[in-house]
Amino acid sequence: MGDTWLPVVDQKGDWFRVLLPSRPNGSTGWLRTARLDRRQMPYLIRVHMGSRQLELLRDGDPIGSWSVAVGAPETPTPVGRTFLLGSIVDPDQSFSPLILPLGSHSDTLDTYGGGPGTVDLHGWPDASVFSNAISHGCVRVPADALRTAPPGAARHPRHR
Amino acid sequence: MRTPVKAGVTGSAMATATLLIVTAPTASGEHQSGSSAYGVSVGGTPGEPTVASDGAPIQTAGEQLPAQLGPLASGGVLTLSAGNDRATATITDLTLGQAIAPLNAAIDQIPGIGEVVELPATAAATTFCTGLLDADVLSLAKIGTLQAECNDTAGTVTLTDVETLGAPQPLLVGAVAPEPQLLPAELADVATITLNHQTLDGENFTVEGLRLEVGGEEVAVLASATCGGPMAHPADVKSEQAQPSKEPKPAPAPTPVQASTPVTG
Repeated sequence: MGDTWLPVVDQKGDWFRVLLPSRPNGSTGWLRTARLDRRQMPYLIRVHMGSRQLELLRDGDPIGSWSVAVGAPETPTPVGRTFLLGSIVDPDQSFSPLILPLGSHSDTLDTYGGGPGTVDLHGWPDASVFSNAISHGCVRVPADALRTAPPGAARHPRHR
Repeated sequence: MRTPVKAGVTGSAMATATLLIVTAPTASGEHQSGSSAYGVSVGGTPGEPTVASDGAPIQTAGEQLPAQLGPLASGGVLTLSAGNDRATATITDLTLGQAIAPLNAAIDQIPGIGEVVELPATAAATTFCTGLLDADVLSLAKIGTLQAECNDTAGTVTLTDVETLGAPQPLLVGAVAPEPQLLPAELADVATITLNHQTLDGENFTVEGLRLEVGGEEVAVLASATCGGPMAHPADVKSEQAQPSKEPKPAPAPTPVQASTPVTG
């Protein structure tokens, strides 16, 4: 894996509070400023669970919107602020050329496929899934959205 | 191989601000001193909730201990005040180590602590803890009220209704001397709870109501009050343009890496 970038949510003196890719969702931790590299990220991704739309914003301005598939009622996509951890090409699967793991985990599945139930953005070969609530928690997105989504962006699944 | 951890900033750019380093004097011309107080600091992180004053009185009440402490510590109401070289932090109905069994798990959850603290196993501590299992003890300690106060360079810690391992501790009620230990000596190599820990750092004098250490490492500080040094006279008042904070560079787009990743498809 490459470097791990964590979003800053608070600062006190020489400490930054950052979101952690750990259970429970929304976990935070404090890191000393002097030991960090800081970077600016202008992108924001919003996933609206009700309308099943994914919005991409840059500096607050919408630059793209797509219909996506979200978690089924029994395995819903967790809502709340999280972030993109990185970008992975997984040769062991064929459903998506790219997988973008997030910092959040399923609230209903303790494990999935041998992993810790990590939620992610990824593509899907059958376009009929988009606009539906049918996944195990991941957000299935069209191929052009996957190419556009900037890793590192904050992400806010929300009810709407 | 350790993966480096970095912090990104989302949202708006950092603002440049004019920093006033001295506040207005009192009408009498007396020097004002700052002070601050906080409820809890976990693993050396900044205390929270917190109040800080440049000399004018400020008070908060009705705050709660952070839920992050879990079984490590739970309490009732937090009251914090700060003013001219005087500050207090008060916690009521404090329970430490509620449900002793999950205490180690709770400590492991504190970022950084689980990696740096190795619990020493001593025969005395093992024997003592085995005894605890037979005694139906529900918590390490309970304190009705814990108040830490600084006044210039004088510090006091006052307690009411103190219990350790289920037994009342009448000698620890009222204003306590600096540095008494709340836990039995048999546990000293494993964990200590120190009351009224006082430190002087330059112009800052701090009184910590209660300090919990495990394996010699600070795990938590509860109820802390700090009184600052005298502030400058009006003639010394000056403003300083803070150095423009260098705006962070744009975050790089990560290069996709090849890996197997079980995700919730």
